[in-house]
Amino acid sequence: MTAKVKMLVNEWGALSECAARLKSKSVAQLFEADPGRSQRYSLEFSGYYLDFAKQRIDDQAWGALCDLARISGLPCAIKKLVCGEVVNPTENRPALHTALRAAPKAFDLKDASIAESVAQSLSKMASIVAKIYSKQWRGFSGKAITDIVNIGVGGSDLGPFMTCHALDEFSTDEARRLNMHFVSSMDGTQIFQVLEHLDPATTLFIVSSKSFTTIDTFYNANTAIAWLMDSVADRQVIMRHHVIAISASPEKMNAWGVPESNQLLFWEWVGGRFSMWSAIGLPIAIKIGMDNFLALLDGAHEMDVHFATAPFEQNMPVIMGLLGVWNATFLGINAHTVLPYDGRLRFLPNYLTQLEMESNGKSVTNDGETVEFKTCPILWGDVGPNAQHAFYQLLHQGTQEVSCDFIAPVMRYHKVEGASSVGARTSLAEQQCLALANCLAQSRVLAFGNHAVADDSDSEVYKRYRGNQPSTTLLMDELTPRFLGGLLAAYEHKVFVMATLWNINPFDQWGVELGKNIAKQTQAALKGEGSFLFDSSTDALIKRIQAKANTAS
Amino acid sequence: MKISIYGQDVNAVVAATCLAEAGHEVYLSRIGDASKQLSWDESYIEREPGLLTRYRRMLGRNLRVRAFKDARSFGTVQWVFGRGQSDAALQQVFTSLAKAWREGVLYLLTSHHSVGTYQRMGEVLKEGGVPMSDQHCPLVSMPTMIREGVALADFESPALLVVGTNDEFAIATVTQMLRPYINRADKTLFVDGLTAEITRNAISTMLATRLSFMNKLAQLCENLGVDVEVVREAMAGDPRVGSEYLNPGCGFGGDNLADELANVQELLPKGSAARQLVDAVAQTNEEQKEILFRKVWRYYQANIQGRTIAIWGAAFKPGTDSLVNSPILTLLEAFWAQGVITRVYDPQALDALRLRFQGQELLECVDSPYEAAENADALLIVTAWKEFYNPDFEQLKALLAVPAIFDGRNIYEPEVMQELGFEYFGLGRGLRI
Repeated sequence: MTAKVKMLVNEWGALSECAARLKSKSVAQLFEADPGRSQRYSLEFSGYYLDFAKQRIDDQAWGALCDLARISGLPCAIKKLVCGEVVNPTENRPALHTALRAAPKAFDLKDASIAESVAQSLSKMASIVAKIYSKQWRGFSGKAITDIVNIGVGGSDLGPFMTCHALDEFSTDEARRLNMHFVSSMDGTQIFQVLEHLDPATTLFIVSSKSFTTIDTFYNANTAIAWLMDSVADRQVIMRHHVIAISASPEKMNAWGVPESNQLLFWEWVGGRFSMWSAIGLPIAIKIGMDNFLALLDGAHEMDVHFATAPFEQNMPVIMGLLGVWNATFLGINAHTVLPYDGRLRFLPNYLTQLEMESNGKSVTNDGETVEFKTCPILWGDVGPNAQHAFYQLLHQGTQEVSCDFIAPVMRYHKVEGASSVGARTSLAEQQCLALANCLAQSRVLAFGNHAVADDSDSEVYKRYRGNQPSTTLLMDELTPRFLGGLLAAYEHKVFVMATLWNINPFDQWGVELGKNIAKQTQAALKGEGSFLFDSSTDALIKRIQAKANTAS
Repeated sequence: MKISIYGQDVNAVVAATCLAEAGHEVYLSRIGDASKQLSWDESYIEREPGLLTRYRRMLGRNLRVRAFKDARSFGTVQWVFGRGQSDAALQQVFTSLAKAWREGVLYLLTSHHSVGTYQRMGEVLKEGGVPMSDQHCPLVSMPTMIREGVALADFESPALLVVGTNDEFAIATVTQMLRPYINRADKTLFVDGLTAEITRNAISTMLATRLSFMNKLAQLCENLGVDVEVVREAMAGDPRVGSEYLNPGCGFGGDNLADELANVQELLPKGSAARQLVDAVAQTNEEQKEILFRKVWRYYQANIQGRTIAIWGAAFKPGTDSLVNSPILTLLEAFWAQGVITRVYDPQALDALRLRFQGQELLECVDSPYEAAENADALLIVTAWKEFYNPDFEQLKALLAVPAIFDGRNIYEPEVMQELGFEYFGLGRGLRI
């Protein structure tokens, strides 16, 4: 056993002891013993305010967690991450999403040419946005493009989709006359619905796929091309005027017939779920304009610098990551919910589902050993106020322990102008106050249960609140491109912190491969091509489908 | 009668000239930014047929160009032409006019500003100390229906004269001032100020609506293989429709219709059916301005980079060198964005074009229509100058690399052009694309 491993074992042991001690304590008791704890368990950074006093920690546990971070080599890992060392060993790649939003020379990059490639790609994006905005991107009939359909799945969909919704208020005037659509699912539902009401003459497709082989995306894209070819037979015209391709593989884009002028590049060292900062963010840039897109990148970069330089005790992503490990691994809380109290962040939980679970849903360490503890919890969420009418019942009175992230911008509707009347504005400001009140109230009840009210003598059992569900509340001054950029970067780094402490690789996703391969065989079986025998269950299902399909045709 | 006239456009100079000719003593004064300049661009006087000679003849007799402060203490009629002035500038003019108010002065306002301007300027005068009441209002709204190119004739024998006032004294003064012209008007209407503004708006919007409707009709005819010219002639023969403003074209320009359309859009609530109607008129016109581009685009299967396109006409209508809202602006931007070389000929507007697009490498301005056509991949007709009606077609065909003509003013006959060996694309007639 090396000295480092020994120290790790000791530290894990110390933390397990802390956990055993704290499991028998309620949040209410922690506050009773330590009324001023929110002073220590909170952080203010550049308009963000992170309150983690309602987490089930005390000074001893928190100190041990910070020590664990250091012993686990987090300082060195962060440096390796931002400098472009290989941090994804199973694919032998760096993960340089930080370079996508950095000013040149912000970090000591191993490969100096990266900054230039990033700048080039951004400038090509800008010229595409300008051409669309000036109504000079034209379809086959000569009419300007009015509808843009993003075809992509996973990382090529979730980030742009979530961000376009979140920052809709920042739409430029030019963007307001454009309609943005997102198509991802392989079953064709979305593409079918979208094509139903679009005019091929004025529709532009963005085909996004890192490998440019994603089967879901290409089935959708081929349907789109077939739809266009009903109006114009020349495939070259379609490729020149109706398709923009975004990928890390120029060869495959060439092979598919996309002219170079319509290709946007990103690189192998950008993970799919970390790629909305690259050319994959084109729908965002079209929606909110290049200036706002750059502000989004700036916000993320600010968080990167904070992550790379702030001491761990005052480091927002590090704190979030340590709490994640504490809850999942040491307290054994295997469910985590994200609860934005702002409808604009409706799709944030969905986005984080991929970011956290695809990154850290792993059980083998970087040394090839099976982990002996719980890693990434099950993550889900919804807009908080709506979730109050859905799954909060389980949070308050169910049998599962769940950790929670409450997220809310403080100021809203303070800049609303124009169409809405003075009366509506006053009322909207009142609605914001109501949402914030609910956000704080729910986290209190979750933490303190019946103790949250002075008179908790309500004796009926079914009206009792257990409390003791730990939560973090993250406030930001307002929701702007900059604040959203920082928020997302914080979650990205939180994931990295957790992976580092767990010694797992957050940047690969081998778990999604096998199903893809087996689906090919199964597709052949369904079509009756060759004879396959799987298992009695699958065989019966195939027979059932074939029989129905035959009667239908 | 002593009359002071303010403004620097054809309307103001035409009014000053004609009123001087009718025996009045007239001071003409500049307003706004122009009043601060030492020399001012008077080329619009030169461009208006017949105006320069008559204007010069009256200058130094009973028409004088004077500084603002002299003019405001001179005329018993103070007539402001607000074209080209911002709202604030116009307000400033009336504030200073009010300072020189004396008993018996009458103010006239001719402008294309938004509805309500008349009332606002009345308030400005009142605040400046001009006695105003329900019974007595010395401000008259004078919408003019003067068209560039025939401005003198339109002033001297107007088809319609609308005078916005119901003040007895004002009516009497205007009637006297406009003698002998008022007698030659086909129709004279005395209405209140707001009604006059709305009337002016309504007429322009109706005309714009007719044009946009005809352009949509041309498209429909084209799709159905019907000659829109035949339909148009039949429509014009119906007295309920009449023949004016019924020609399809590649979009109307100038600032008159466009300004008035914008005024009406402003009056109507967003989303209302009325607003949608007027929006559609405006939008149809904007799209119409690039219709020739779209035809060329389709002709070359959406692959036009590096081609050369000849364009005849740049002015928004024949008889002017003005590029204001001209379809040429939309067309050039569209072609340049695709890397197309544009070679333009216009008998009057080339200087304006050169000045506006200095340094644009894809623009060539040439001095003859044939030079424009040389080795070009298509010819576009944008302005219906008379000299374009009968070119030497043989020479033209020989010069063009591709004998394809896209006619935005329907000045040629499709059958004739076909016989001459051209591919001819009109609006609602000729070849379909």
